[in-house]
This record gives sequence, structure tokens and C-alpha cells, in this order.
Amino acid sequence: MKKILFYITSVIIIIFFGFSLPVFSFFPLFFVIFVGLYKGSTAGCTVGFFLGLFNGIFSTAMMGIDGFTYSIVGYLAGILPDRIDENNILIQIAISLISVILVGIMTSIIEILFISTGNPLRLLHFDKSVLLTILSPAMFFVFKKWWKMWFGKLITER
Amino acid sequence: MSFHKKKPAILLSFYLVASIIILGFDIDTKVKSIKDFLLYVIVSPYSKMNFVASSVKNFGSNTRELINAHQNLLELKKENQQLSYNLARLKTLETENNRLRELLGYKRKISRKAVLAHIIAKPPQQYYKSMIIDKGMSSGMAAGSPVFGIYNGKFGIVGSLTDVGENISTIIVLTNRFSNIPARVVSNNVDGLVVGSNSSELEMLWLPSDADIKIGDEVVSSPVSEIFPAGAPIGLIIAVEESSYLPFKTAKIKPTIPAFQLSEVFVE
Repeated sequence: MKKILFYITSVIIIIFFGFSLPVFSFFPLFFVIFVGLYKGSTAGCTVGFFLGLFNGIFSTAMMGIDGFTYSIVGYLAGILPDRIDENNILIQIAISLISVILVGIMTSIIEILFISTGNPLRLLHFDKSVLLTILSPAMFFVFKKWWKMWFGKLITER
Repeated sequence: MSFHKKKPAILLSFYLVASIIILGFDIDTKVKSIKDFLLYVIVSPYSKMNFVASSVKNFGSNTRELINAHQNLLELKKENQQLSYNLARLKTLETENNRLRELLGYKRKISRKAVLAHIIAKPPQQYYKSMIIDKGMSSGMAAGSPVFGIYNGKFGIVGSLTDVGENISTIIVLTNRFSNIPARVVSNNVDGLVVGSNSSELEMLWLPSDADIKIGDEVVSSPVSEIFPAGAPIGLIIAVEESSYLPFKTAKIKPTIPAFQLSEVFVE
């Protein structure tokens, strides 16, 4: 029950921050990766789906796209092999970068399939906002502190 | 949180199908109103908070700008007052300049000996009686000298000097009850005596009863006058009063020069 409350609170805060600054535009995605990395694929895809769904509701983006892409990212983060050290900063950056690119590609494909306004060039083009992935370790640090604030300790369950 | 920990792939499939259903059935347009409402609920407080935060952030610079603006306003007001004063001063000078140019032109016409004098005192109770000018014996003034003036471009008699001091003199104006000038009606060369009445009008006495005098006739100084040169304008007839028992009639005259409205006069 406490975990459900934690996730709901986190989703609300993350969506709220998503409005404030461009630097927080990847905040939801990084949280999904964080949950997937530390709490496994089940939690990752569930949090990814609902966070994406709410992100679609509270933004101008089309509902369903983020739910689809985030749940996949959360699932994939959760099935990464154990030998990958989730506390390594470079690993965190690499996973975040791959996730951002993956989400971009999947979003373009979905847009082309469902609303026919997708830009195929997006598959090859990522703007400078991708550079924000270097902030992912800092965000993961915040997420860890946030988790420990609720539960005292963070144990990887992947 | 009771997720299906052993079957995450099934769970993911369920989420993906749900997402595709949401996309395929175009739920986005169906729940647009709800979306807009939720956006409003979320964004409105945020935008207000953002506004408050930016207001607080800009408070210092806003206050500084306000103070600067206030100081600028005070300086502009001061400058405006100075400019208004300068403008009024310029207008006064322009008026005075025009009047002096006009006087100079007339002075050249009437007499080379004429002296321009400024009126320095016009006691209210003496409006139709006397005035004081800034010239006296030191400027060659003498009692009995004729005084002329110009008003609205017209030249005419103002009066004559009575008391002459070293540097000031008193003019007894035409409208003074004790002033009298031999005068002539220009239209028919009829002579009479113009006297003051301590009012804005003059009276012309001793006009023959059979003289053809009309309202609007011009009255000038008579050649018999010992003080004023012949033909100097005095005024215009505005009324004629005939007596049934005297062989003379009287005319009311409006002076050409309203003496109390002058600033300068000529003294010969």
C-alpha cells in the first residue's frame, strides 16, 4: 500500500515538474528507467504505462503514445542482466541515452501509423535535448534519496 | 504493490494492447474536454505560482524602475514648468517687441523730437483721470506738453503733462473732467470744445445746432489749439444731443485711444 502511495505521489510530482522547465522534460522517462533498473520489469512497465498515460492526459501529447513507449522502456530496463551495475554513472547515462533514442523512434513510428503526422526524419534526428541525458545520474541520485526517504533503504530487485 | 512478478511479459503485453486501444479508438479526442479541464486545473495554479515567483524575482528591478520613473517624472515636471515660464516670457517679449516696433514706426512719422515714455503707474481710481510716466525734466519734459498714444494701430491724443518732476511726470488724460481741447469735426469742419467726464466717454460742447453732425464722424484737434497740433485724432462721435432751448448741441465721443490700456506714450 505504501508503495502504491509512493508511486502515485511520485507520478504527480514528476508530471508537475514536467510543466516547469525543459530540463525536466525527461524526468518521467528517467523515473521509469530508475524503477525498471532497481525494482524490476514488472514495476518498470507498470509505472511506465501509468506515468505515460497521465503524461498524455496532462500534456498536449496524444494519449497512449507515452504509455506504450514508457512501458516498453520500463520493461527493458527491468530485464537488463544482473552484471550491469545500475549504480555506475556511465551505465546510467548510456541506458538513458538509449532509452531516449528508443522512445523517439517508437513515437515516430506510432505517429506515422496512427495519426499520419509523424516525421520520418525524427528517426535519424535528435535535437540537443538528448544532451540532457548526462543529467540522468543526478536525477537517479534524487530518485534514490526520494525512495530512501519513504522506505529507508533501496534494494535492487531486478 | 501486487504486480505479477513472475509474468512481466504478459503484463507488458496487456499495457501495450491497452495503449493501442487508446490510440486506435482515438480516445484522445473523446476525452479532450476532460483533458482540457485537467490541464486547466494543473496549469492554472502553476501559472499563477510562476507569475508570483517571477513577480517576486523582479520585485527589486521593478522597484528600482518605479523610483527612476518617479524621479524622471519630477524632473520632467520641473522642466515643463521652466519651459512654460520661458514660453510665457517669450510671448510677453514678442508682444512687447511688436508694440515697440509699431511705436518706433509712428515715432518716425510724427516727430523727431517725440520722446517715448513708459507708463509706470495707473491707479485704479484714476483710470479716467491721470497716469504717471517714467520721464521728467531730465528727459526734456515740460508741463503742458501734448501726449500721444497708439492703440490697435491707431494714433491719437492721450492727454497732456501736468506735474513734471525730475524723472517722472503726470499725464492728465482727455477723459479727466478738467481736460478740455479745442476740436473739430472732420466731416464738416465744425469746431467745438472736447471735455472729459471722468468716464470712458468725452463730450464735445458748443456745436452749432444747425451743424450736420452724424454718428461716426471723426473728431480731431482744432488748429486753434495751443497745445496739440491740428488734426490729431481724438475720437469718433457716438451720440448727438440737441437742446430745444439752446442754439448749441452736444456730442458724445468715444476716444480713439483708451488711455488706461496703454503701456507707452509719446511726449512731444
